[in-house]
Amino acid sequence: MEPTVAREIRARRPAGLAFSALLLFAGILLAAFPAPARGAEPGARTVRVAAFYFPPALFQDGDGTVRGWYVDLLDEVGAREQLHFEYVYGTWAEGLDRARRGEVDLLTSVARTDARDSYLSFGNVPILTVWGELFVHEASAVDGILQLEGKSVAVMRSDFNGQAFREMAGKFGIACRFVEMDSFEEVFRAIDARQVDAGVISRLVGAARQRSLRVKPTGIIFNPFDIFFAAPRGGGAGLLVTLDRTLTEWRRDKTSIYYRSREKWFARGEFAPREFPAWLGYALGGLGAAGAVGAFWVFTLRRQVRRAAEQVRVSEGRFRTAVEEAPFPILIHAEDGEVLTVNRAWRELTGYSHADLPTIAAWTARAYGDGREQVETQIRRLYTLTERVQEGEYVITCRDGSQRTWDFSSMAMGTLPDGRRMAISMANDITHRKLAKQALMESEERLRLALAAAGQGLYDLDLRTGEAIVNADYALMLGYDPADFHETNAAWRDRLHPDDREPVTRVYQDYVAGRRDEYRVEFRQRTRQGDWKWILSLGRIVERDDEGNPLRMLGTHTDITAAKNAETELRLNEARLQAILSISQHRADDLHALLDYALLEALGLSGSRFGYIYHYDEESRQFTLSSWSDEVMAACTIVDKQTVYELDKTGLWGEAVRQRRPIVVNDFHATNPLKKGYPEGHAPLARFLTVPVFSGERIVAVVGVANKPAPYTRADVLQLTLFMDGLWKVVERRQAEVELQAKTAEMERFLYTVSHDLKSPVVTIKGFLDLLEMDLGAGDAQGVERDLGFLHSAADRMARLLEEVLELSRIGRVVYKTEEVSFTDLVNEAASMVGGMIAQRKVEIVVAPSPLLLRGDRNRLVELWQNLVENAVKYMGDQPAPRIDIGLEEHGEEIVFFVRDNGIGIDPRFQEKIFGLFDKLDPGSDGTGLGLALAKRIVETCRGRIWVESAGEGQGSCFHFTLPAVVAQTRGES
Amino acid sequence: MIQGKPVNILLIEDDPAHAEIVRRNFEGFRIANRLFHVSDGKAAVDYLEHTGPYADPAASPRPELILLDLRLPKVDGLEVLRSLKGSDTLREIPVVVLTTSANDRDISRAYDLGANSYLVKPVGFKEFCEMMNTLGYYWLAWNRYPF
Repeated sequence: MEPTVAREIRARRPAGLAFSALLLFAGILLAAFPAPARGAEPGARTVRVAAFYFPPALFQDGDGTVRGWYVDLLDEVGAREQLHFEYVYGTWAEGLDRARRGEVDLLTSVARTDARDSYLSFGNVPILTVWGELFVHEASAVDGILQLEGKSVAVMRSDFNGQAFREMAGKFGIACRFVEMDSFEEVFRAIDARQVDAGVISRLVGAARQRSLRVKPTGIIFNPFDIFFAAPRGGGAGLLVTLDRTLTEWRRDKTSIYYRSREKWFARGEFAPREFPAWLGYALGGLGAAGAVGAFWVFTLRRQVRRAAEQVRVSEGRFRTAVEEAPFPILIHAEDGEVLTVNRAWRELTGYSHADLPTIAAWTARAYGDGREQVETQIRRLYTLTERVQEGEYVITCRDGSQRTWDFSSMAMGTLPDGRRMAISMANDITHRKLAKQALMESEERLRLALAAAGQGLYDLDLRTGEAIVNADYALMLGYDPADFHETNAAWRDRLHPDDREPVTRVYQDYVAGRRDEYRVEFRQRTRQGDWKWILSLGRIVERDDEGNPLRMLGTHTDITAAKNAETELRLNEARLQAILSISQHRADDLHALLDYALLEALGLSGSRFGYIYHYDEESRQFTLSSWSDEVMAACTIVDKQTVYELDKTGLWGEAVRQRRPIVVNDFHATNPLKKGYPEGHAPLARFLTVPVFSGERIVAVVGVANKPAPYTRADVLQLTLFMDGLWKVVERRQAEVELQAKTAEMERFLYTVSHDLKSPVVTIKGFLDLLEMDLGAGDAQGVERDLGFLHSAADRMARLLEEVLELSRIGRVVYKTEEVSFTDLVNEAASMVGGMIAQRKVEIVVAPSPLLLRGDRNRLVELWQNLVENAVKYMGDQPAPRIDIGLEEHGEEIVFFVRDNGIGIDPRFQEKIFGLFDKLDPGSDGTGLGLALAKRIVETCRGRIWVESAGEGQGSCFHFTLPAVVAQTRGES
Repeated sequence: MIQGKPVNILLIEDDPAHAEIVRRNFEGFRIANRLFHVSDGKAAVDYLEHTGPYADPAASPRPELILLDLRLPKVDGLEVLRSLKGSDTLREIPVVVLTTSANDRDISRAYDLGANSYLVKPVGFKEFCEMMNTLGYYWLAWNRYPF
């Protein structure tokens, strides 16, 4: 750089230099012929000027005369304006004091400051622009401001330059000892005498004076500023205006006294005492002029070089300021261990001052304690580095004993003027980051422990590989041993329930692809044991690459099976209760209609298409159809549809009764040993569920549903079972209601009977007793006989009525021993009971033999046939060849018994009525009207039906009835 | 007292003993009467409509009074009453219900159907005779008929 700068200077300046040289020459000539001696002009106003040592502008000659550039200028002003300038010589500080006290009228070379503004008025046109410079003894090595640390620096009291330097030193954190002196001359002398290490001198003075003393400028310059004329406030305003005007005028004119005198005084380098003899002046004039040209050349060159150097110094100053004010710790040190700079951040963070850390050894001892040696070794390597090196994290100890974590990086910084190599070490204080990271790890650990305590599974999924790291609870939740459980995304997907796989996978993919903000899904996972667990999975992408592609996903698994089950159960309960409620509120006309309705509800609950409800009787082991769904009816084209089935002949659908538990068949087409097949035309079955209905310990019914679109599940079984249990309670209540109603009606009729029919014979008896008395009195033997006949008849009738009423009340209430008896035996026994009547009317009884066995109350069954035969005999009428046929017929699975006569027959209008209590069609017959009512009660207790068929009066009658509850064996035996 | 033709009474009664008691009471009554007896509802309807065995009006004349039991075989007494009172030609004939039933429902139904009187057979024979006597005077002597 240096040669380039020099060349530039030479290239740019030749014309200017030549011109300046001419001016200088002229100036010297003028100085050689000085103006006449000055004296006080009469009438001129005196202006007192504070003078101080400020060569070459102002200084006191050896004889006490004040001279200099200012004096020349002021003399010129005085001549023009009729003013007499009188100089009051003293120190700079004294001059300011005098101005403040009003003892002087004018100050020269004053920089404007706020403090001075309070008591001074300033001119507006600057006299000069000046700056301060640091001077040292010519033997001093100091050439940088940083080397002034701890050194003594002389400044002139109240000097603006000194003040500026103090501020600069403060900014750099350089602790100097300042020594105040009265004048720049004293400062110079102190430097010269090495009483101080350096001194602050106005550049103007320094340039003029330096060559006479053993001082040199350091090139450390600072704070350029303008200097003005100033007057005490309140006075001298006119004078300042005059001076401003004059200065303005002069500075526009290069030939003015301003420039001429300035060249004279400044270029001379050394101001000659006024007492030089004139001749010597002339003699030396020519010589001096020649020398001056050379001197000026040298001076100018120096000035250019110095200016360039100053620029370097300024930028160095900026660098130093930057280092000092950098927001991170910086330490600059030399290879011999000297610490050159410790910046503010370093000092503030550690609490150490530069004085605490004069050397690297001092630093390492304080900061690292026992670990210092390793650090020192590291530091020693730095001076040879060519690039910045990342040294890593170190824990340092601060002055107050606290510890900080610093991340160091260092680099070599070149060589000091004395040849020592330097290095700069910078640190990034990561104490907070370290603490935050530690806190994060601690909170992560706390979270992990909390999740573990809650039995939560954790997963950490690498989205690129699909590999996942999971905690023990994750594996345990799925029934695996954490020790050898290895999780991957694919394995997880594999374990998903088929119904969940598609929707859950979609949510996962959408989340990873950024199409949704949240990953929160509930799904079923197959455990190792093969059952299903409901899991709530939450997840979050925690790491992405530079392109934003997800790398890592963290999340939790929570077992929500219990909650899910409760939810499902609740939903099922609600639906079932709703169904049962609607059934209990259903206004069915009879039980059959109620069960039809219930079947529809059962189909709805289980989502089935077909269904049936059969009553089951444990004694007869028979099913009786109660209800079939319409769809079954439509789909079923079996030619002979049965409504009664024997348990032993049923196939799969009877299993619910045989095993006394629900049966589920989800693949009806598969071979099943329980299946006996179904007849041609049966509704086609795919899936089937049948449930037994219990009343206490007894099975009372079975419900079957079929062809749900999806397989029947345990929930369906539970649902249907509970529904049927609930239903059956309603059914039983209805049955009880119906029975109660029937009983009540019967009771009413019974009372009616007592009030009418039982009263009838009493009326007769009472009447004929009186008539008998009358006939006896009248001696009417024939009448007596007739009366007695009526009396006997009425008494018999009454006795029979009472007996039959008792009998009627016993049926269904008194349970006799159940026994097995053949049909033939029963009928023969019954016929013999009415043998007298049969013989009397000469009735022929024809029994069709059958091997059928009945199981039931033998006496009751005998009574049934007996009543029917008795009825047939009674209503034989005038039939000349009375005959009664007794037998049975098979209608499908059903056995229908009959008792047929060829007697008077029954008008179709009365065929229902005859089974009522005390209803008899012929008053001439001797029946009580209870026989058929008794027969009907017996049939009903066997869950059968009874009806009569007759073409009409005189056509004979045929009574038919069924006895499902007592028919033990059917045609199979024949 | 009342002169002329004997009064025809139709007794509809299924119990032969009761019919005998009634017959005996009216037998010795001072007002001339003829008692015709049928023992079930169907026979009663046939008698009044002169059908079946009662086709000859001379043998089964139109009665001036009907005594009707309620519990009858084949056709119930109340049914007989309904058909009587529903007939333009027969509804003027007064019908006295004579029954053992003191059932409120029977009484109200009988009046609903147009019965002119409702009598419950007393258990005591003496009372029975007294009732027959009073009934005879009331309906055979004092009561006036539109025909």
